[in-house]
Amino acid sequence: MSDPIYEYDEISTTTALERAKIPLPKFLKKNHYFGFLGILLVYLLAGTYSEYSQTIMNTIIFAIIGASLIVVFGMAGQLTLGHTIFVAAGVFLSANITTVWTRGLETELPIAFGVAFLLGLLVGFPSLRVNELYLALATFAVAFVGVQVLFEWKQFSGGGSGKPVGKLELFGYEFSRGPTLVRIALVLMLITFWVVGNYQDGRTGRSWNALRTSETAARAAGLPVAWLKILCFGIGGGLAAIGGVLYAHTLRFAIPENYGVSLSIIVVLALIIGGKHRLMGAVLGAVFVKWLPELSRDVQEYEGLIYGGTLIILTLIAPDGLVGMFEWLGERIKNLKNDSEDRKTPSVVKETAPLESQYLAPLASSEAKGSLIVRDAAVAFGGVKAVDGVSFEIPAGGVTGLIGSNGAGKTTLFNAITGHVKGATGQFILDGEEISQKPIHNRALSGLGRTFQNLNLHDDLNVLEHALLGLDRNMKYGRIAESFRMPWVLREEKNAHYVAAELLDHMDLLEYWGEKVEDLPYGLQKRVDVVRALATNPSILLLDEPAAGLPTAEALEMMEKVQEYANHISAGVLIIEHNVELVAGVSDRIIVLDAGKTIADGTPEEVTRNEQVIAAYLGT
Amino acid sequence: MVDYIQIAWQGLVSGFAYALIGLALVMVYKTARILNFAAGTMAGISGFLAHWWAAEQDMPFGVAILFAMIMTGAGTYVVERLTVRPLVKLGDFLPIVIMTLGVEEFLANVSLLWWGGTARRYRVPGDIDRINWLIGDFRLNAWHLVVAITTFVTLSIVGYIINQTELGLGMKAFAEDQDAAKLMGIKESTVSIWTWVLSALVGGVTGIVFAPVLFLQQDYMNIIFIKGFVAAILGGFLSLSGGVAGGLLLGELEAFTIKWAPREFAAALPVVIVFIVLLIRPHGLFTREKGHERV
Amino acid sequence: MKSKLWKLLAIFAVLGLIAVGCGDDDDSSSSSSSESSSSESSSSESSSSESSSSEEAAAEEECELARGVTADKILFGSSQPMTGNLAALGEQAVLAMEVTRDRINEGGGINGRMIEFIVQDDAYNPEKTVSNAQYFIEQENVFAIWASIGSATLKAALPLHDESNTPSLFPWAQDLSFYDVNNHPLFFSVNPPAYAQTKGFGNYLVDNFGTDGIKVGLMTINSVDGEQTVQGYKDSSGGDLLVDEQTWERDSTTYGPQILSFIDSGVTDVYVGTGDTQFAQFLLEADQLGLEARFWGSTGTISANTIELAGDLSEGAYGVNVISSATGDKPGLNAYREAMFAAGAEEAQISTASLLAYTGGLVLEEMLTRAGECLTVESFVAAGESIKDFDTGGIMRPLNFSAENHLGNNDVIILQVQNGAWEELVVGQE
Repeated sequence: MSDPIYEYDEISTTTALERAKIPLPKFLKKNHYFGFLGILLVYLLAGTYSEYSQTIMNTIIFAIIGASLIVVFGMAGQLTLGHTIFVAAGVFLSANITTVWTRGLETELPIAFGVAFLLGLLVGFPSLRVNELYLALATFAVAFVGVQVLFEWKQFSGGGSGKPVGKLELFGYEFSRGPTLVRIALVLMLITFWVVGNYQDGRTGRSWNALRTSETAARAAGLPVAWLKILCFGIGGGLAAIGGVLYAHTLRFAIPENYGVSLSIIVVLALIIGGKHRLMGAVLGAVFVKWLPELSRDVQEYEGLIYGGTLIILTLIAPDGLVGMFEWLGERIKNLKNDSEDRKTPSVVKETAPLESQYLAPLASSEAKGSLIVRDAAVAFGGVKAVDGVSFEIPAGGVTGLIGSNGAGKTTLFNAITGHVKGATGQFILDGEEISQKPIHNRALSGLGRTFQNLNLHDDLNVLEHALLGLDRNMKYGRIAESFRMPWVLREEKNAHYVAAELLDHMDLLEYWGEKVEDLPYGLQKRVDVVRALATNPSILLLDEPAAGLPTAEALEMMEKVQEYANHISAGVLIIEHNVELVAGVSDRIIVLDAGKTIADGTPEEVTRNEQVIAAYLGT
Repeated sequence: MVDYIQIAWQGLVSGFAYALIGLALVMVYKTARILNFAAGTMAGISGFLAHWWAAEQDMPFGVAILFAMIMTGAGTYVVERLTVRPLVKLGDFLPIVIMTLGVEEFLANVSLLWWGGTARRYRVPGDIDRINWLIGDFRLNAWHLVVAITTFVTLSIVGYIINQTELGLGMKAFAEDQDAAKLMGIKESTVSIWTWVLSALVGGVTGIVFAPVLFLQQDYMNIIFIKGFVAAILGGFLSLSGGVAGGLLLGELEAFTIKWAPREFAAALPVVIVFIVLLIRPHGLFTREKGHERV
Repeated sequence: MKSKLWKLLAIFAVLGLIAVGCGDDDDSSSSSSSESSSSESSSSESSSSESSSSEEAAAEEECELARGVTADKILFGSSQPMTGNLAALGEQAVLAMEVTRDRINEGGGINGRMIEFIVQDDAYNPEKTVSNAQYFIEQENVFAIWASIGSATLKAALPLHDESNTPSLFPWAQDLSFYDVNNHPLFFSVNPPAYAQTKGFGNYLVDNFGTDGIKVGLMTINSVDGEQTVQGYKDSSGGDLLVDEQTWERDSTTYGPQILSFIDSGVTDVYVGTGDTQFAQFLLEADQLGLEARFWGSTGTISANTIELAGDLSEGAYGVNVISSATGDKPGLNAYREAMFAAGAEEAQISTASLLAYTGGLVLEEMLTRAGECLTVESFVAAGESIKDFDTGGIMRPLNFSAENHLGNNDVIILQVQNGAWEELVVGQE
């Protein structure tokens, strides 16, 4: 995201984006140039170093597989120990297509990708039920079973004996296997890396990163988390199969027993060593795993010592992988240069009111939304009834406060409304639409926006990206277009960037747009949580203790901004707060909960004078 | 009928190996949230050490084992201090897993350089591993009985330590809630190191007691490790007895599937079944959700 | 401004790409690159070699020595499983190769040339075997590749060997496809295919024990070799007696289930296609579970280590091998053992693996000697094909090669453990 090469679009020069100098997504970025030149270099040198062609090929193949694993593991965070099943699919499809059909790469590549994609969708299903360690086992089981299937499916795999791979050709034109194969592999690597890079820049990559860092928040933003998980396996699988096709042509023989669990582990290991959050990591990891044995041929009997020792040292000094280590060094060097300068970017002067900007103005609406009907909401944890038959009706466009002592059930009620707690009963109707049976992200798409008591921000993403996440539902471009960086994809992304910038400006976050949220002070983090919710253009905004931990002045200022925005889009607001003064000040109405039940529901004046409320909550 | 008992017993014997390694793995995971990938190689080295003391240094059988266990414990202590300790602060489990993989590679090479590729026989007093008793139609190998007894004794000792000693209390506390335990004044580094040592000793026992069965060769404990890992996950990875039960269950599963399943699927079936179990009970058989122990 | 610079750079890059892509003649396969390097080495060697007489000088200048051959050295490469669970085999083969090398070199070499070889680990992983092959051929410029282990690994590397005109010599690999001289003219072996071995076993079984009441079980590995093993048995005269087929995995920790199945099927004879450690374990477990049958080990099981590990239980076990027992008493075998122990071998390393490599070494020595001063791939191959009735001192029956047959030994030998050692029962079982 921090690409200093940017361009202005010829509109007004006072948009928030321009003032903050936020770079816009472009078709070609610095990384593209570097990557292309790097690959070009190897391309040109392939002939000179032809005696290393096997090792170079293996490196390229592993880099491609690493890139495909970035999709599954680096971005979506799904630890898979069965990834080589897709490689195997590519290898054996290649063997069969070249010998039985006698076709070339033009057939092998699409079919390998397609079949592996579908296989990936299938393999992705367990990821919905289990997570982390258990997913690792589930995928381990998949790899294990996959190899057995290959053994037994003799027609496809040749059984234990395996199958030879036919000629390397493209549209009938045959190639030899030395440097030419390396060059073909480089072209495929270029394409694969480009595609994965396009996802990293686009909404799918953003969504994957979001679900990795906080599934809860990702769902609340309206992202279809389940589908995204399955999809990452599909795409990752398809790309891995491309590596498989190349692998088939390098080995020239396909044998089932090579594609088992140990290869899966090596592939994951390589990526972790290189650094799983950057494409460069896939390259570095592949280089490490493939060149260490090559360069230590003379001391081969100590290879395990060298390999193991390097791993140990690497994890001690570079837990984020080699890429992480280089990035850290880069930061240090940059800091040395910028020592005297203030680390924070200078504050950006507001010129146009964000709400009047061409990006946020259209969202204005006088039609009040956010009417919420809650009937007999109930949530029980074991024997404890956290929410015990709560009912109320909030009119559209209203601001409602929800107060009660700790443990009264306020957040649980929120979770019941948004769907974040299982086993909730009751009816929830938003703007006339019943959402009680809908999954979380569909409720979000119906117009529910919320913030969280414990923030649930996305580590690794910066402030701007949080806003962009909220805007995801506005982006209409498809995933295929995204893979190929189509012009309309860039157009929509640019537009979203402008909108996001204005949103940040409204919440006074503009100057922090590029900061990673984990580096921000608490108060700013709370605002990021809010901005993410606002970006979803909600009909009703559920705020869970937005002022908690903030000094009153800051809290009031933030609430003012939120209110302003809510009025702008005529959305309703339901706010949980402990600070009664604050709540009374902003709300039209207050609902008081105690031990899971409503004990008061009325105007602030009525409620603050209610004896039961005073006894239970306000106290002396 | 007796045939089934025989199969069940064979499965149980394999199961003991998986159970013990599963126990060793779960122990470290529960307390420190670390997956020790080096457990298999470490267990194998214990076996090599026991053989070395007995065959090369002419120590009596029991003394050789004692020395091997002492060396195992000491070695683990050193390795933990040097490699794992510094990473614990990071909180992220991934680097530590890589670390144990690195340790595994390193140790595997060391053991290859030392031991070479040849398989050797681990001789036991009176060669009782070659004695088989006939009880009706049921055949009992004498060493298998020794294995069973050893497993039982080991589990009892570990159980005692966990439930009756201060160390065990510390381990349980850390398993429940790391931060709370630290706040209570329980020293994390002490608990951690002794958990590792205990785990390595359990692994060492396994490596030694199964040496006559598997022969002492490179990587001979590797497959046991993988199956112990699977067993631990079957049990839920957060329950010690779950890990043990998972191991026994896996052993039985393997034994019976080869009997009943068509040849083609026999190898894969146990893993598939574990997989299906996880689909139904994602947190393992013996663990409640959110990591609370049921057993 | 900066962006314009990048764009310019990109345009140059694309132009460069097109230039390289069109005008590139580096598309040569490794064969031409190796040929160019071989002509380089021969020309440099012919100019630096010291010839003792002018006639020899004249002859040498006309002779283009093969890659990996100089006036004083012949270089071989060998890809071995030095790590992993086949590490023992790799070690044994390397030891035998060292013994061969020392014997040849101490005798003054062959035609004045010393033998040298480089070993690289492939951990029985075909990917590594292929990359090792490339390393040997293109970086180390070896003459030939010697003593590979495993069919899966050699199968992957063979195309590379063939394309680069590199002989593949005397591996322990048994896949049927290797022996087709038309496809693999540079392949020489003394190790008959697995297919032939089990066929011989089946025939011997019927010849000696008849067919009455005989029930046969096979346990083979689920891999390249295993399937051909089963097929070979089925094609023998005992084929109809097969009642139970079991497989084993390298990951197996026990053979209990297979043994119980054999008990159920009531087998009288079991063929165990495994290595020596596995065979020993099988015998142990068969005894534990009460499987009463005759046990027939395969090539890999015939070693002193089997007897060492299995102890008394090995007594009476049969074996099907392609070579005499390494512990037998024959001139060739005695010489082999003497040399091995002198080189520091342990008892356990007196095995089929090392003996096979050693015997291959004997033939290799003969081939090199016959090829003469002008050692090229052609003269080497011709030399090999000319070998008839080659005496190995009893290790194998006299070996015969020809233009159609690069497998000098078709013997199947039946052995049995008697008094703690493998004894030959029949040599040359068909």
